[in-house]
Amino acid sequence: MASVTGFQQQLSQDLIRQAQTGDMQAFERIYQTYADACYTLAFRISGNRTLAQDVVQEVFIKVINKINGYRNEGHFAGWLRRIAANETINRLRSETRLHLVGDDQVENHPANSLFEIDWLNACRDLSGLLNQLNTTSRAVLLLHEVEGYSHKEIAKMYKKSESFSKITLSRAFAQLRGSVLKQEQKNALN
Amino acid sequence: MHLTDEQLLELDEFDRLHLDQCESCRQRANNLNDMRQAFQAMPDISLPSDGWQEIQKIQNERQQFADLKRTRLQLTRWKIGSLALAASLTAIMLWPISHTPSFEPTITNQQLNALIDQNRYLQQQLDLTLETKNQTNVSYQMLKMDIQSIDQSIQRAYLQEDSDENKSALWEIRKQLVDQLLSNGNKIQTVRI
Repeated sequence: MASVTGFQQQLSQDLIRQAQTGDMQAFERIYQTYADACYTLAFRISGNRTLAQDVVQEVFIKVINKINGYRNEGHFAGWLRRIAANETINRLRSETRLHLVGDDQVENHPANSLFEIDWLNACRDLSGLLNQLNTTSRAVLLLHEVEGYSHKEIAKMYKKSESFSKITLSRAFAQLRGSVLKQEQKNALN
Repeated sequence: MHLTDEQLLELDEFDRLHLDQCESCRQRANNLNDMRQAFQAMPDISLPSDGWQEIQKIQNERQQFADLKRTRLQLTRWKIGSLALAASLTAIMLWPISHTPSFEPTITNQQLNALIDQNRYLQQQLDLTLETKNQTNVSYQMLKMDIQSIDQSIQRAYLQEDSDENKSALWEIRKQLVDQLLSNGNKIQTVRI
């Protein structure tokens, strides 16, 4: 049985309460549990190690200062993940690495052809494949497909419409499929 | 009518009903789920180094900076308080020139002057203490506000030509408040004005 990792891990309410009293050992436990998950999220979205490390640092400083704002509603990991995702998007925005695509700039593709086959099955390097996407497409895809955010939540993060998130996601899948099929053709010719 | 790719990516209630009835769309949804599982199965990446010490260091630095800002603000407020005391003392000095008491005082000028001198001495002690200590607790702040308030009352008492008994009572309260600030910043008893 696979062990639980990343934001799937859960901490006891007692530990969270300890942290809410300012106990630094409790904060260290929280850090040791979720630091890699935060780093993974920030790095996969940004593709930048330094930025991802900075995000982790800032996320946990925010956790130390804002943990009393966590009201035990929903999973603590979900609260933490939201801070990490917002911090990453905000940093990308402030460093203007993020190419915010307007709704009117997005190209259309055939409306129901993306998932007729499981083309991703042929890919052996998912991280490498994701890195072929631009930052926005990669971020939306990871937030929606891996972290479980809805279009509505993603739109709020980007201060854009829901259709921005929907179209960016479809477009990201289309681009990934194009890359995988291209690689397959290349492999067949060799 | 089959579901679009966008609909498959975030199904609503009606889309789910459609999936129950449509083999083609169900197959597409299964393909998408397989892809999702592949993405979700990507392992976590380990942080290049344990940054907890660094986070603690940054947190401490930011905390110290915030404390310093707060202390500076307190000192500024306290300087304003000291100015209020100086104004009170000036009012006392000017008062005898233009005013003659129209009643027989029950407290002598000597007693009142002694009380004022004691206050002046305590204020000097307090100013010295403030320069060396960092007092941030709420009781301390409240007590300082009480002193500022009593300084205003003292000034009013002189300008309105109140009785020496009233002035003396105000100076006595001020003395007690400063005494408390000096003796124990953390265990301050409230003095009712």
